[in-house]
Amino acid sequence: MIYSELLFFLGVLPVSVLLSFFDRSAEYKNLILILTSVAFLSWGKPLYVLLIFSTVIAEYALGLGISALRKKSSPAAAALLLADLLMNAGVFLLYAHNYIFPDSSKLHLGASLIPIGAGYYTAKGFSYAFDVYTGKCRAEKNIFCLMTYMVSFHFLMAGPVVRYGDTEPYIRKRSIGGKALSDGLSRLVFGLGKIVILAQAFHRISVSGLEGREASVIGSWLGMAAFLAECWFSFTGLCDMAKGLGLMNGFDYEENYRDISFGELMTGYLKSANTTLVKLFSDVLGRAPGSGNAFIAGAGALIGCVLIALWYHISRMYLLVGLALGALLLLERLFLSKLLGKLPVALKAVYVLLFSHIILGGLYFDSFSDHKHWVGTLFGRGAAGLMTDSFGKTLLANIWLVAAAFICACAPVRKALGGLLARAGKSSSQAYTAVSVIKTVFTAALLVVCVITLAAEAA
Amino acid sequence: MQNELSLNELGSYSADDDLPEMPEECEESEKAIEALRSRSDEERSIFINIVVIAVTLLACAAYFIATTSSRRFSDEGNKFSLQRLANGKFTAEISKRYYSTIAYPKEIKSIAQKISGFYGIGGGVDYSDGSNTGAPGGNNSGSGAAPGVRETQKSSSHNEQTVTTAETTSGTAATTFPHEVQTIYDTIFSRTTTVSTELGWDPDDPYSHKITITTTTNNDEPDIASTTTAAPQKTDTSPSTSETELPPEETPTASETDQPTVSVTEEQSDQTEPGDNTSEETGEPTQPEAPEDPEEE
Repeated sequence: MIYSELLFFLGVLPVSVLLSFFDRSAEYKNLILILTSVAFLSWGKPLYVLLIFSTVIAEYALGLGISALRKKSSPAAAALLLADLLMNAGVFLLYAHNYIFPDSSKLHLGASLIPIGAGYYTAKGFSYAFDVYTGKCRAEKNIFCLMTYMVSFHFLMAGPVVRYGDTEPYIRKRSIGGKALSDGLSRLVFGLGKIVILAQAFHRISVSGLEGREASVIGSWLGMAAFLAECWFSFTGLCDMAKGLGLMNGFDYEENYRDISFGELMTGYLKSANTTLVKLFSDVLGRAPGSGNAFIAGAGALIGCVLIALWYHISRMYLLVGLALGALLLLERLFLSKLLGKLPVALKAVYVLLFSHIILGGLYFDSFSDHKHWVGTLFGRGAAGLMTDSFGKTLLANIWLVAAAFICACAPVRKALGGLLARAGKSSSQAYTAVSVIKTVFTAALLVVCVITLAAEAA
Repeated sequence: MQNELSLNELGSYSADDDLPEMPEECEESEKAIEALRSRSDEERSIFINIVVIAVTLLACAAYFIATTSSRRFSDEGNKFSLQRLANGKFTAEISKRYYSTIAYPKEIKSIAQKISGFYGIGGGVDYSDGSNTGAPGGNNSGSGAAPGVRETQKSSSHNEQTVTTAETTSGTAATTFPHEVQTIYDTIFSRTTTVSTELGWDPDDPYSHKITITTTTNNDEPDIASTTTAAPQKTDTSPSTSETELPPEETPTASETDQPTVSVTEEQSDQTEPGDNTSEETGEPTQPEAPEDPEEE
């Protein structure tokens, strides 16, 4: 089960939210959250329940052990942290990347047994042990609080990788106010709209541009841009839904993405997505000795890029993309940031978009030769013209959605529009009510459109 | 205070008299009133937002539950047992029935198609060949979203040779997802139709022979067709002195009226492993019907 399934947000979600209102105590809310999370995670994959309980018990024991040994014997605590890392890495490889095991292997699991969200689950588990080791948070003695943190279904699809120290106050005491509920519902619906409508529009455009019978120059450029946009809106849509779910349950997580900016060149661009996971890797790799040195920091960035790329998917192309991005980040740390930092933002944007387009485009292909062929079509080699009719028609058939996506993604435009609405609402009480009613009606209409679209695709 | 006047004293003044100077309103009270007004506006908008969206969500949930509940929990084929719950089959069957029993599917698809007409210029999305996924944009892999989303769609597309955008007869662009039904002329792997015709032979005719003509048509390029003719199989009917030779063991496939029999087979070349589109739900292209058997007449 995933967030954008009808069965989830028209079945599990309303039941979970309504049940949590029956009592104000945090213990009751935690119990409801645990039960619905286990049902969500194990839907169709019941063995995941065993995985949840076993790893929570292991994290609980390891956390207490690290906390007890941290001051007495640092090497012993480090050994326990390493054991936690190996445990989470094993679970991660077995469940999140089970495809690396051949069919004949005993470790190869059927699709029905592979749980969803093992990647973020194990990242959270390790972050807890790491924070206990570094002293950022204390070891939790109440296993149910730890279980609430580990299994909560809010952030298993697309993060964030919340740290236990940030979540603990909410686990122990939280309340759900009207504003949080309202913001949570709106955020949930907008996230759903990004996934169901915007991401699918870009998918249609990318398929038309990249998998058509004849490749064209504009189709290759815009098709890949559409693929990257599809990834962006799918990911940020899931993050918005996760944020909305958290708000509706009284949690206030940090954002797992930020507006795309070109001021920090490629380093800032890559940090705009999955920010909490990047932060976790930075915290871990930043503890390496000599990380203050530019070259060592750059090498750490290279290693981090490779690890994060493989975290998404273990394949040769992802490894190559990680290496290429990491090399670029290393060069930026060494001298490129000083060289390009003085350029105007427009030129920085050209630099970032060009390199990200060519490098990240490798994620689309299975082989380097396909990627090379596509790069050739970008500059006319092997392309059958500037643009094909079919691609043009597909682009036109989704042009309003492309414009809406641009407004969503482009921070200056979005903020200007938001400022315009806010100024319109401040003029009088009636104007404020009118603006808020328009927003509400738009949100409700978006929800209905998403439900109809999902039902049409499922029917 | 000296400036305070009682009501009686105020009433003694006539309208033309200079009234004593009234104290100005405190600025802070004005700000407090403004803050209270904006707060009440905000709370009213929050209340409206919650009610409208929650009611819409619950109404949609109630509609889907009500229209699918009767067949979703039916005991037929989905009996509850701890074993079926433990291996996930019970919940998987509930999901399957929930999505397969959505009420008014044609009407919903029609509405979705009309809504998609507003997405741009020149046409919308064709939902008539949709498959039962119900969950676009998410993936079932364990690592997470972002490029993982594409991986799921790519893996299915590699099995099924992702279709390109096809133009419909009305000139609008219709794009199908990799997991959707692929019409025969839109697939990129080659597909051939083979028609073989056997000319019957007459055992009484010493000069008759059996000829098999095979015509292979490439459906991607119908103009190109290849025809092969098997070598005629001659029968030796010359009488022997001692005994009469029996006719060959091959019996005629034609009737006595010497009508050619036609058998039609359809082959797929360069076919990858069948994906989900080979299931009954996605629908297969219909095979050409064999001609009527003359013997039945």
